Amino acid sequence: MASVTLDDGTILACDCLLVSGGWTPTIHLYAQAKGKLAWSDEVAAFVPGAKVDGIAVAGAAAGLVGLGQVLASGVEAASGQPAAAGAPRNTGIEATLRILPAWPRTRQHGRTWIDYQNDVTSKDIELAARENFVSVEHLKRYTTLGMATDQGKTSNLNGLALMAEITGRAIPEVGTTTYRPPYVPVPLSTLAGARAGALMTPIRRLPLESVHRGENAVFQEYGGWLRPAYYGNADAREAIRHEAEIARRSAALFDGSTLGKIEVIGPQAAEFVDFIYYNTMSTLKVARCRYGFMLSESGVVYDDGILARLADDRFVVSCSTSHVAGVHMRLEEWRQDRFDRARIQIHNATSQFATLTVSGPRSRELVETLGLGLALDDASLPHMAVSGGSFGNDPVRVARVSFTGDRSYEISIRADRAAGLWAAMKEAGGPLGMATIGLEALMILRAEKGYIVIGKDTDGTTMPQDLGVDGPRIKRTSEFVGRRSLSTEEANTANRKQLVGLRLADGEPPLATGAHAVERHGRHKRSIGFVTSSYWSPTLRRPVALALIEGGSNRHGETLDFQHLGTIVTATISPPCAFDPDGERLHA
Amino acid sequence: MRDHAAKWPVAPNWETARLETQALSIYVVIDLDQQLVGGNLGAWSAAAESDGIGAGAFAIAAGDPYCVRLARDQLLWVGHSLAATTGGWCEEGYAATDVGAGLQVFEVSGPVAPSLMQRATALDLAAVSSPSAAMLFAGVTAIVYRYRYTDTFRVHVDRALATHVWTWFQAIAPLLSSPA
Repeated sequence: MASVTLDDGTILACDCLLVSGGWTPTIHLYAQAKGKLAWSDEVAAFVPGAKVDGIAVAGAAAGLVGLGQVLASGVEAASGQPAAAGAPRNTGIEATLRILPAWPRTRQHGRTWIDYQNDVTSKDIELAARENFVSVEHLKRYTTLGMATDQGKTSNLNGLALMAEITGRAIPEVGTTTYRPPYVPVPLSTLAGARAGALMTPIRRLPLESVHRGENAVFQEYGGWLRPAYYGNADAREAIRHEAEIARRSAALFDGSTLGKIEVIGPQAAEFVDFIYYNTMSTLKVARCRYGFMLSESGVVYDDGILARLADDRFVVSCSTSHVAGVHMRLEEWRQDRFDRARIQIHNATSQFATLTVSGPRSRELVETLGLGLALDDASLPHMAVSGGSFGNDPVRVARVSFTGDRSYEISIRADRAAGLWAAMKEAGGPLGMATIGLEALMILRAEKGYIVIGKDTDGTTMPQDLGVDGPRIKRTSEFVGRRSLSTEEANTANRKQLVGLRLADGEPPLATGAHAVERHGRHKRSIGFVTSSYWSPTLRRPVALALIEGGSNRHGETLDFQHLGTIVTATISPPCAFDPDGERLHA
Repeated sequence: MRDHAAKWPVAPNWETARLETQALSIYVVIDLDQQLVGGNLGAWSAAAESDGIGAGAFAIAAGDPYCVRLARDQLLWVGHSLAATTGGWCEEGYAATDVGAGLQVFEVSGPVAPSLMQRATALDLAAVSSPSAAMLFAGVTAIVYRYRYTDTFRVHVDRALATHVWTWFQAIAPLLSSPA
C-alpha cells in the first residue's frame, strides 16, 4: 500500500491502513449468560440490558467510558450498592465519548465493504433484503456476514445498521445473532493437545512385532497396522519376489494376526449370520469354514472373509484386517436392531489371538512336526475345515484355509504365547527351505490366484455379481443385508465394471496399478475401467494383473488399451485366476 | 520401499515397563485373567457368585475377582485366577469369552492420576455417573475405572493399541505437576 485517496481527493501517503468498525462493548460473556442486550444511542452500540442473576457488568463492558463512571460501576458491581462517599473516584478530567454514527448507506457507487474477512459488501446486504433474508439469522447465513475468524467483531454492527435502514427498522429491531464461545480464536494445536507425531493417528501393533524387528523385517502400514512388508536387507523387489517364489516351491510362514476373529454366539447365531452374509451360512457344518461377502444396504461388497462354525450356536467371523472395527459395529448394530438380544452375543476376540499361517506344498510337513495333537490328514482336516489342538499347554485353533491358493494352515494361539509357536514353526521350517514372508509377497500370491482385496480390487460400486458370485442373488429366498439393492436397474445393467484378469504380451513389464482401460471415440478417449492390482509373478515368469472393466466378464480374449502417464500398453482380458485354475494345489 | 519401523516407537518390555514421576506411577498389570461376559447377567452372576453389576465409569472396583460394566448386557470379569472358559453359549443364556491376552491393563496411581484421566477422557470425574466404564481414552476405546482407591485407576486397552497408550502416558506425565 502506498497511499489512500479520500472522497475529497486528498491523498494520504501510508503503508498500512487500519479500519475501525466503531466501538462496541465486550458483551459476549454477558450474552452467553443469557443476558438480553439493549441498544444505546449514546454510544451507538449494544450494551448489557436487564441484570442477570449472578452476573454484574461494570466499566467498558457496560458501555461506560469515563473513569468516574467506570469506578462507580465497579463499586456497585462488587458491593451491590451505589458508590458511597469515600469510594474511589476520578480526580482528573473525565473522559467522554462522542460518537457520530456513519453507517453504510444503500445504493453506493463501487464496493462498500462490510465484512473484510468474508468479502461481504453493502450490495450483498441489499441483495439479502431483496431476497427477503431480513431476519438477522438469515442475513448471516445468506451473506456469511460475521462468520469469519473475527466472528463479526469488525463487521456485524455495520451490517445490522444497513439492514435496519433498508427495511425501515431501528437497529435493535434487527437484533443480533447469538454470541457463542470462544471469544478469541483457539488454535487448532491447542485443541489437538498431545495428538501430534506418533500420537496423531494410533497404529495397531502385532503381538510379535519385536520378533519381526529382530528378523530384519521392513515395516509398512497396512489397514491401520504396522506389519512386515518383507524381510531382510536385500533390494525390496528382489526380496519380495524371492519370498513369493519360495512360498510356491516349499513353504511360507506369515503373521496373519490382524485378521478379524469376531465371535457370533447364541441360539439365533445361524439365523443371524445368514442375514449378515450374502451367502447362506446356516447350512455350514460344525468344524467347517465358508468364504462369503458382507454387503452394505446398497448391495455393494463391504467386506469378504471366512466364516468358521465352531458349534451349532457359535461362529467366528474372520473379516479383513482393516474392517474389524467396522464389521464389529455392523454386527452389533444388527444384533440390537433386528434380533433377540438375549439370544445372540457378539464378542470381538481379534486381539486375543495371534494367527500364524503356514502355506505351501510342504506346509503340512511343517505342521506335523509341531505336535499340535490333531489329525492333519485330508479326511480329518480337509480344505475349509477347522479343528482344535494344543501347543504345549496352550489351546490352538487350526483352520485349513488359504489366501495363496496353496495348502495352508492358520494356527491361532493366545497372543501372549505366540512367540514360542513362531519360534517352533521357524525351526521346523528350516529344513524344508521355508521362507518367512511379508505382506508384499502375499499380495503377489493372492493376485496370481485372482483372490481379491476389498477396497483395492473393488470400489464403492462393486456388487457380488461383478466379482462372479451371482448364485445367492438369484437363488436365495431369505432376507439378507443389501438384498433389495441387487435387483435394481443399476444392479442389472450390462456395462457394470466387473473383475477380470489381464494378460500382457511377452516381455512387457507389469502394468501400473490404476492405469485406465480406454476406448477410443474419434479423437476422444473414454475410461472403461482400471487396473486394481498388478505384480510380476516370479512363479509364472510374467506379469499378472486384476482389473475392473465395464462388461468385463463377457470380454475375455478381447484386447484393450491401458493408458498411464501418457503411455499406452495393450493387454488381453482373461479370467482373474492366472495360476492353478483347477485349485489342485489346495489339496497338494 | 521405506521402512516405517523407525517411525513408530518400539513397544517396551511390558513385564518391566514402569513410568514414575513424583506424583504418578504407571505400570502394566501382568497375568490378569479377563473374560467378556454377555447376555443374561443375572444368570451369570449366580453361576459366578458375583454381583453381576460391575463398576461404571470411574467408579471404584475392589476385590479379586471383580466386575466392570461395559453395556446393558455386557461386563468384563477380572481376576487373578478366574475359572477357565472355553467360550461359547451357556444354556443359562449368556456367553463368556476369554480376552485376557487381548486387553492390556495399565494401573495409574498417584496424586495427579485424576488429572491424567481428565486429559485422557472427555468425562468430568467429579460429576460422571455413567454405568458403563467403556469410553474413549487418549483417542482409543478403553475401559476405565478406579481400583480400590480414589487415586488409582485401571485402564484396559486393546493390546494392539497398548504401545500408543504408553507413548501417550510418556508424553503427558511430565506435563502434570504435583497438586499444591
